[in-house]
Amino acid sequence: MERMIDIHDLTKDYGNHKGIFNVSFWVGKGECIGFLGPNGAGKTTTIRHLLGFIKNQTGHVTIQGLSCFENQKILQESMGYLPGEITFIDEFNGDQFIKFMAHMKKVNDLTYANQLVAMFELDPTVSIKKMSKGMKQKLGIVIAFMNKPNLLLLDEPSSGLDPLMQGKLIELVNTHKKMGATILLSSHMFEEVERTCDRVLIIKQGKIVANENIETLKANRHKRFIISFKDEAEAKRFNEAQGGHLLSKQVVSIDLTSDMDSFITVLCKYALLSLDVPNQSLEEVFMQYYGGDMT
Amino acid sequence: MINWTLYKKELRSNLFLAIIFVAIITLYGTMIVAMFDPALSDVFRQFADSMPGIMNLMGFGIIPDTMTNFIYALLYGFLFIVFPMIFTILVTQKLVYRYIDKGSMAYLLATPNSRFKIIFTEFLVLFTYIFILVIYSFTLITSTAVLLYPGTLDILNFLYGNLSLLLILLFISSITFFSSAVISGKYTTGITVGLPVLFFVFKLIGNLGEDYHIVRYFTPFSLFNVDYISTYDPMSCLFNGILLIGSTVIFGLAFYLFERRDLSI
Repeated sequence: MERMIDIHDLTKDYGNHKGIFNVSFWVGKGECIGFLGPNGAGKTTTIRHLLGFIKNQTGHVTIQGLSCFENQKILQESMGYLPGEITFIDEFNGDQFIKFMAHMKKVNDLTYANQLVAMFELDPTVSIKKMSKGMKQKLGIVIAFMNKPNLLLLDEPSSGLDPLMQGKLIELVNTHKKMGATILLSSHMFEEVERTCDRVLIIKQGKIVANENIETLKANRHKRFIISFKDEAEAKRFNEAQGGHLLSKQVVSIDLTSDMDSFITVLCKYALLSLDVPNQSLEEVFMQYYGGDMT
Repeated sequence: MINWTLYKKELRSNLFLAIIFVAIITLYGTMIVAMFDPALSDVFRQFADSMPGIMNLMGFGIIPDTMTNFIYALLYGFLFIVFPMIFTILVTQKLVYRYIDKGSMAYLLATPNSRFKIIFTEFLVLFTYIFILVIYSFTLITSTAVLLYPGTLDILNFLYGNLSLLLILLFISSITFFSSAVISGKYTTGITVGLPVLFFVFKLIGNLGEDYHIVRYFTPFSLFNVDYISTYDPMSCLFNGILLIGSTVIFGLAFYLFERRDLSI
């Protein structure tokens, strides 16, 4: 597979064990990669290297074979970036900022930008200063995608979006993926990564700790249930028999390892109040997968 | 080399601030010129003759015996340096430092424009505004003087004085620009604001009398010497040359280092 992003032995040591250390990975052309890790793990530092904001201390960081720091201008011609922490130039309103960025990005046709504005139901007449977190996120998405880039670097793209808009974002990412774009997406939501990415990279304390195919992950994902029992005695009886984890006196959490049919059969023998299937974060999935602590 | 979209945007963004400073310059400029009284010039001259050094003590740096020297003494020794200096500090903060500090520089650099193009455009905005302020000061005062006291102002010498003003302002702005673009962390604002102010305080202390003359060697404002300018003293040419070369080097260094620095934005 032709490599779009190639990072080899990248180190940026900020001292005090902060930074990234000997990071190596590559992303094939047209691939969509989920980039995961706890806060402060080094995701943003890695992305800043790709954008050419930071110079690598060791190793190399290239996009399409070109060194990112030296070739920032050329590489930006076909790049879209959505920062994790959005800070716009707040003297504009949404519309003015889109036009300003279009000029800066040398985008002459605003048809696609307008389509994105409509898709995300963004009111571009609002002053950026008065925009909510969600509105800013939508505006950031419009700016990142409007030049139909070949490479998209998305730092927690769904943060601040409501579930409906998160769905639209997933749709948009998949559309661009079909158009041939290479995407690096950092996220905390399993669903988002599951529905868009081919592969997942995990970074922890500045080091890449996992590089897995999404299908392998999905196959190994345990189902977790939160069960509320009628009374304390029931919860205790279940817990002792099935090996769950007591969350409170009547509530037990259990990771399903057996098959679903036999689990339901077992549950019938107890007096239940409710049965929940909580959303699992990717970190939790990885905690199960690696049996370690992701934080 | 220049991004016109950014250039126009920055000119617009700083227009209000520029208008405020133009208004202040207009107010003081016209007021001081109107205050000129040929009879008062004789008083000043007699004053200076009887008590040498008194004018220096008053911080004028020159005896205000003609219209040209009167303007140099009362405006170009203090007000017309202080106001543009404050303007320069504020504008540089907005043009460079705030983008880096807030992180919105990421949006300017995540576009197909080189770092040099972005920083050079910001410099050009600063230069444009300084140039406008100096041209405006020259035009305002010349026209006011010609209208109120025709024939009293040595326009050619005043033009030379304004060229020197442009150079000292460029030099001061090169320092603020350099610290905004290159120095990161908590010291940036301190240097951007503090250093020009400190230089100016040194200038004032240096003017206090012979005992304090040593301080004059520690401030670039000494290179803007209205006494030398008024007589076309060769030293004024040398000083202007130093200011021009100095600011070119500092701006050049700011561009060079900004292109190579890490930006955590």
